[in-house]
Amino acid sequence: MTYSDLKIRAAGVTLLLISCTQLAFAQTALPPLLFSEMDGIHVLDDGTELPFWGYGYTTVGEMTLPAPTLTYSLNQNVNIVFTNPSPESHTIHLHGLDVDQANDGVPSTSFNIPLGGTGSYEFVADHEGTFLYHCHVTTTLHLSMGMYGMLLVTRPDNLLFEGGPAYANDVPLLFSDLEIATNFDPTGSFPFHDLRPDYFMVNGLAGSQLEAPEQIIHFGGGWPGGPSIEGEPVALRIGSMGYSRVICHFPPELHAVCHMSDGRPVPQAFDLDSLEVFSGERFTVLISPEPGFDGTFEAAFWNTADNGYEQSQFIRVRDAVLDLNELAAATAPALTAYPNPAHDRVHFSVAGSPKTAPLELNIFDPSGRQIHSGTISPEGFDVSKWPAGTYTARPINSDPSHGTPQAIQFIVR
Amino acid sequence: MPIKLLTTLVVAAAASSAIVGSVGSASAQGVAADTLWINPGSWVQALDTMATMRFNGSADFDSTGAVLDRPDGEAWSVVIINGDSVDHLFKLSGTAGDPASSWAGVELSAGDTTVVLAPALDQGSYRFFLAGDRARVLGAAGLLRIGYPAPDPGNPDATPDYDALFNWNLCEWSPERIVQVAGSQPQNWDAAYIPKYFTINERGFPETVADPLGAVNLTMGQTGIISVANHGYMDQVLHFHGFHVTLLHDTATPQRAGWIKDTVPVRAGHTVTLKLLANQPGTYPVHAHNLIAVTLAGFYPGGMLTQINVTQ
Repeated sequence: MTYSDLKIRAAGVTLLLISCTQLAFAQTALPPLLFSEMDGIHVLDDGTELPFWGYGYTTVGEMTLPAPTLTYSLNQNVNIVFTNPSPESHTIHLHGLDVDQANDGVPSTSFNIPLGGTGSYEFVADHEGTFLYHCHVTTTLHLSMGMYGMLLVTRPDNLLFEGGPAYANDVPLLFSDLEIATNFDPTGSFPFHDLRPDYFMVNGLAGSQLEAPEQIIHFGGGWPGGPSIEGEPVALRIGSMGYSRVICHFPPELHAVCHMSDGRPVPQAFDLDSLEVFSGERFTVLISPEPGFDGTFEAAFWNTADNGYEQSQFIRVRDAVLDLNELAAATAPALTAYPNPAHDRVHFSVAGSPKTAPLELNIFDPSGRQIHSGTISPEGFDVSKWPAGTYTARPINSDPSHGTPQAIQFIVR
Repeated sequence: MPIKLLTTLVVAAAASSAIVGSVGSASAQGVAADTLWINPGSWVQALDTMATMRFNGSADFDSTGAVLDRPDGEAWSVVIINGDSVDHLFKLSGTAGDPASSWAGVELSAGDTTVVLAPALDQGSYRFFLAGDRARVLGAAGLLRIGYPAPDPGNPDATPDYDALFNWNLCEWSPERIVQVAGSQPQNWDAAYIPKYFTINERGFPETVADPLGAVNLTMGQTGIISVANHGYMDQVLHFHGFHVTLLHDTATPQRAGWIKDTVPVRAGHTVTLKLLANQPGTYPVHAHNLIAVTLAGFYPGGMLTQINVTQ
């Protein structure tokens, strides 16, 4: 019996195995159970329902394009149990993790998972970084159809790597593309060398889809959707599974710095204004946006064969304070700071009250230290010498539930 | 035949020592030593028989192009016999502004023999090639490996810190463009570029795994040096299964020297030099991650795909 035979089970036994492993993992909450299928539907930004092949969590029962981001802790023993109820064989190649031959996911040198089969991929996550996973069966076609995802290995101390910089949170950005006609008719995609992608994605999304609130990269702390910590940079986990070459253009206000590539620290971190990403490459880029930043950076897709420009997608980055202020304005009597961001003076007012009315406020600096408590005159504060950052103004005896304004944050540049 | 001697670059003595010094290692690797022949020929890949042109180590046409080995830090020379029916300009490429890329090159008259004297270069991998789209489309280019003598187990004092040398000449091939340039037909460079063949050392997978210069065979603990040149029009990107490699030299992005990567771009017209430590046993693919480049005449798998074999 070969290693492959040991790892692959026929359909009848598979069901039993899945049930047992699901039970075991439910108790230990350990590895993901992935499945693959070839009947997914992905909605493009124009509303087109596009067929795709992909992976999903067995426990969820739905596939996504790209596949779920898998995150492991450094030095974790990983066991990915993978079942394939789809009509064709599939595998999982753990791209960049340098796993041994048996777990490499290449059918000719390790094993594949046929219809009704299941198998496991085992490795130790012994390097921090940004990695990928994808099917390695008829790779040109199966990648074009959507069988890929990102895999992160992180540290519990929130350092990028031992001795590396601290950061607040991870933001996976997986670039990819597809040829729409191929997804609608995979059997008509031959010859494979004539592949001409015509749809370009970031995390499976394009165009207006990337403007949805949940797609915005927030920074600055306090945002309910993420663990971002004020003052610490955001880690962009950039990778490409596309045919295209992608060039990211970072505005200077993001202060983007590249620290890692392909799961290894670069010898010397360097500032970025642009970053070229080829298929299969990964980079870890820390951004430390200036307070109040609300803008985009560009991911430009270029044709690999003739170097022609294809299309750009735009990824939005926004100071969480701005959202919090909007939220506060929508839900409570509105305390407003203006202008916001402020350069020279900042004024405060409450909706429905005359702007000439004095206010009783506590003001806190970016570190949380109270720097003022008492009456604020209508002339406001001179902030021209204040350090740049995000400040908090809280009405004394604030209680929104009783009709008094809640705290707001404002930015000094 | 008249011999053209370019005298402005180096003294003859330095050139002679470079030739002598290179012969042993070059022969050991089965690559060209002191003379290169420009050989027009015919090349069959799957469904197509294509006109082609190669630098070879003899007057006999061989579809596998030659590799030149020369020491670093010394001016060097090579004799070139132009077997083509037209004149050519022999050039080198490296990093923009380095002695290779800023070198003016040497004219090679049709049918003539020329002694080319070339500038001293730092250790690394470079390209030599004939200028112009016709020569480029036909494949008249080769790998110049500087400062990597072949390991000599019989002479430990001279043994470098690696155990084996490998070379990968990457190129993509478009039969349509080849017909256009070979037949002097009107060329349509604005048409979509859809190359049909993708090769490492002029072989597509599975022939690549039998390539003694390209397939990486090492034993556990050994170190291999892989010199890679991309002679085509397309950027390529190579992905290593099972291993990370250290980027020793990259003519397109020299600032990346020292990076450790598993996916390495090799831009069109550029070269990289990689160090691979065989630290786990097994057979692992290494291939272009550009999706179309792992096909051959449209079939998968094929093209720029070879193997790393590490034995215990």
